Amino acid sequence: MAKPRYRTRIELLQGTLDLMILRTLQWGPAHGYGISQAIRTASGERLTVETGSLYPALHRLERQGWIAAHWGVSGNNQRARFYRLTPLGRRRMAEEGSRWDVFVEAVNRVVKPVSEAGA
Amino acid sequence: MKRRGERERELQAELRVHLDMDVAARVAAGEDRAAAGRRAERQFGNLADVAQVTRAQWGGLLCQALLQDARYGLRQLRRNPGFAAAAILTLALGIGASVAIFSVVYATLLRPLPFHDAGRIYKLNETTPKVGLVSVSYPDFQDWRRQSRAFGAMSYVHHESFLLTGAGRPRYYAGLAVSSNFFATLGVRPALGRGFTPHEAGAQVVLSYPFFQTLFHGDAGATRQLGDTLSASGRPLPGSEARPQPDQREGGASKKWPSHLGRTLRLDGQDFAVVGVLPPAFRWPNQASFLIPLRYWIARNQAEAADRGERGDSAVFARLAPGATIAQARTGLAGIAARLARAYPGTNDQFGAVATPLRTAFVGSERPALLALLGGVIFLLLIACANVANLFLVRGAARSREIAVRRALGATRGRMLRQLLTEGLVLAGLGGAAGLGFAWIGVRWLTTLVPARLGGGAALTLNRPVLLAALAVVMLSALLFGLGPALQAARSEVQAELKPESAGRSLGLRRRGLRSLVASGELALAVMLLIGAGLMTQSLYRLLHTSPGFAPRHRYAMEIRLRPGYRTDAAVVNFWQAVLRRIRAVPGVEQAAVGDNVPFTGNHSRADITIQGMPLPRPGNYPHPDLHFVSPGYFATLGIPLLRGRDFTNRDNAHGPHVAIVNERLARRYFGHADPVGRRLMFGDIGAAKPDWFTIIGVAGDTRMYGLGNPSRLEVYLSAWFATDTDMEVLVASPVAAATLAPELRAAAAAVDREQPVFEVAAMTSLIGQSLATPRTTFWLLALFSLTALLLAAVGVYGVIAFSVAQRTREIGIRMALGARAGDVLRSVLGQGAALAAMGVLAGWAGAWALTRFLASLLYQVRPADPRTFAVAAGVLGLVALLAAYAPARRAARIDPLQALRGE
Repeated sequence: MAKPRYRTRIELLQGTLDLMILRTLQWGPAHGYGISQAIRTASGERLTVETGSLYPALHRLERQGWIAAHWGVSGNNQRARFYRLTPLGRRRMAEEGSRWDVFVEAVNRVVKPVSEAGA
Repeated sequence: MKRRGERERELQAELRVHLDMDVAARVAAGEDRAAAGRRAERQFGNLADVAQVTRAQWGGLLCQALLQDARYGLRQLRRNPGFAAAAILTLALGIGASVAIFSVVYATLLRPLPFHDAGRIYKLNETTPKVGLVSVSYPDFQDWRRQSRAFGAMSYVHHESFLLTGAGRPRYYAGLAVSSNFFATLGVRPALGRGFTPHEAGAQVVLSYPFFQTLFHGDAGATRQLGDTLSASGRPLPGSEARPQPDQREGGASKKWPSHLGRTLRLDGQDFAVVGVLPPAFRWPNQASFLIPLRYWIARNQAEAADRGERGDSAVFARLAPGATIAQARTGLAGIAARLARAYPGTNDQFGAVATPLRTAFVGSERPALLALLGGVIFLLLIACANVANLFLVRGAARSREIAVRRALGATRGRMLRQLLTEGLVLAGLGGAAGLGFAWIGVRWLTTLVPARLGGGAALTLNRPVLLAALAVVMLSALLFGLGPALQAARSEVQAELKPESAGRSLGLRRRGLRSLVASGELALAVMLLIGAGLMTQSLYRLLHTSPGFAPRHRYAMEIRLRPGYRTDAAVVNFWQAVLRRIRAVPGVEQAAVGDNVPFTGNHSRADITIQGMPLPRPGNYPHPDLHFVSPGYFATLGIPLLRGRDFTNRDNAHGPHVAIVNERLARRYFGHADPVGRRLMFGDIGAAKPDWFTIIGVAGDTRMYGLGNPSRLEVYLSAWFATDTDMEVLVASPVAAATLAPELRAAAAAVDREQPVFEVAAMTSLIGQSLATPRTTFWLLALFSLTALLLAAVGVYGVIAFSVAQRTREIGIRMALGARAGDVLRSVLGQGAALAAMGVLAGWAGAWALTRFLASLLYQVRPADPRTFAVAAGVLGLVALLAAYAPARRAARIDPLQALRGE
């Protein structure tokens, strides 16, 4: 069975990947390849989003109404499916962003207790 | 929402674009094109997999996943055809039987009545303490209608048959004479034309839809034309009766129209204008071909209609007034009846009045039998589900590792539950489809079995409500047999299942015991039904080999009920003699005679007699033989042996000596071994005025008038020319087939009197066949039920034993490793089957012992506790149980000890 192969990774990445996609889209519409490249560049080549995670995430976000898709023409004249942030998605991004901050802070306190606690 | 195919294309395009872009970016960065393609593809991963996980996000799409599960389930079934066949057959039997019986129950008990707001309509009857429900006399009805407040409308309905002439050959049809408010009371609107109005001159008739179609021979053109006329004008065209309908569209169609039947019907010699046609859905407890205004019946039967004590063949139907309750209506009706009883003690003393819901009038006495039958098939369905659940468990044992692997790979419990339930649904769906096939056959067969009058002409069909019920049954059974094993499998622990030494051994002994109990219960049921069917078989066999006292082969009967107009006895006798002369001249006819109470026709009349010289019995204890009026040649025609003396001759007529023929039983009883010829008997008891003696001139053989299972009674025959009847059976002995003979016989009757209707020609053999309808129906039902139960029991035994073999694989392996031979294993597993069978047989015998006495009234020369039947049923069952156990036993005997111990 091929199905379960990506499942665990999706679940691990779900929250963060969603947030990264939403963040990427706040600068304007982008197609899937563009989003993956943007994340890679923005992370300093450290994060590579697998297509097997990216597209499910895009389609899920679309279904939830946070992003919308349309077919457009890319920079080098290729028809591609573009995603853009919806107002709902914009709100969501703000919420997710602050939750992420809380999460990062909490994890940092655990991971680097001495230095943070001392500060 | 986009269509799925389009979305799918978009997804493929989107992913393809991603890949292209990556390749393009790599080439732009200076990579070699071929290498760029390879790397991009590696980076991308498997396109089909990505598409699949993405597709999984398109929500709403549980059905997509279900479809996938269903496909997977189908694959599983195909991989295991034995299991699939057993399970589907089992379900198909259970579902098919339930649906077929439900279609009868629906048609008779549940189908909505074709009346507006039928729940507020009641049938009213008079009651007496002695008889119960009786009809309503017309004067009583008039008082009820005047005085009742809670019933808003009341309609009087009188059943009567009418002679239709002028449309093909003359025939009697059943009709209803109804008050003009019949349509309003019942909430029926004619499909064409109109109903009756209160003060209308002339005679009108409203046709039932089937009768309308028969009359016009399904001639679409003529039907349409009549329909147009009725709906356009609401009344017949004037003067149309003299004109045949010219029909340009269908050449020759107009020939089917008797010229004088344009838009009138000639009933009992009077013309009735056709003013309307009832809707196709209309049905009535008694079959009725048409309605005529009650006014016409009253005019023709004034004495009867004015007699308060004349409670003939009538019923009253009433609709509750708006806002009134049935309790108020009943109280009111009881008050009226009590007042009438006081006012007219001569006719109404002790007479009450009751209102029963209209539905009851339509259902009648078959309700308990139908519900019992429905209960029976539902029980069968439950057994079928238990069996399939068992089969699932057997397979679950084999699949437990697969399931554990899938769980380990990340499938959740819910997911597995869904998968297994969907597989159950697939199975139930297949079983249901096959079951509908069985049901279709079953319904066709039931239609021939169930009396047509059941439920007031309710047609048995697999209609939408029945199909919906079938769907519900399928879903329910999927849940019933799927849930248990699915929960079992989903609950199973991944760790435990994957350990080799525990290959599917998680069920306690208690459950195994329960399953064995269910299997022996099924066997017991099968034994009981087999015994029932066996008893009926023997009984039927003996009945069929019982002589009716005459020779039924090549004998035919045709009833003629003389129309009004033969006023003197001489005219009547002349008619019969003329008909017999004509019929004897028909080629192939060997003998012909008439008789009034022919065996197996259901007609009979009886009278007290006094035999000269016998000790006088007390009043009420006189011999009470069946009485026949027969023409000369009757005995020879029917093949009844004349044991002594002579037959009647044409001289034994109104002016001849008073003579009688008695049957052997009467002769034996009252004359012993003495010769009764020349002795005398009289009708009624002696001591009255002047005795009227009849001299016995002959002794005839006994006949079984009332059915093969009923012993013959005392019989006395008198000459039909001595005192005749207007309603007789014409009997013919002829080797010619009925189909050829019937038109000839009808032509012979028509040649004597063109206006005289005759009934259908019936073969004596088929009359005897009809008399066996109840035992035959019972036999078939029992046979079918027992066969089904036997099959189900076989599957049940198979399930239990196969499951136990699957669980004991390791144990058997160890035994074989320790030296047990294949034969020992085979015997031990078969022994398990034999033990189940033994329990089943014992329980079944006990059950049959208790229950077969309810069959006693249907049995003929067979005791309900017939030891041979009991033994044969047990033998059949044991054989079937062993056969069912044989497959798993062989599998057990072939277990490879090495493999079993390794747990693979």
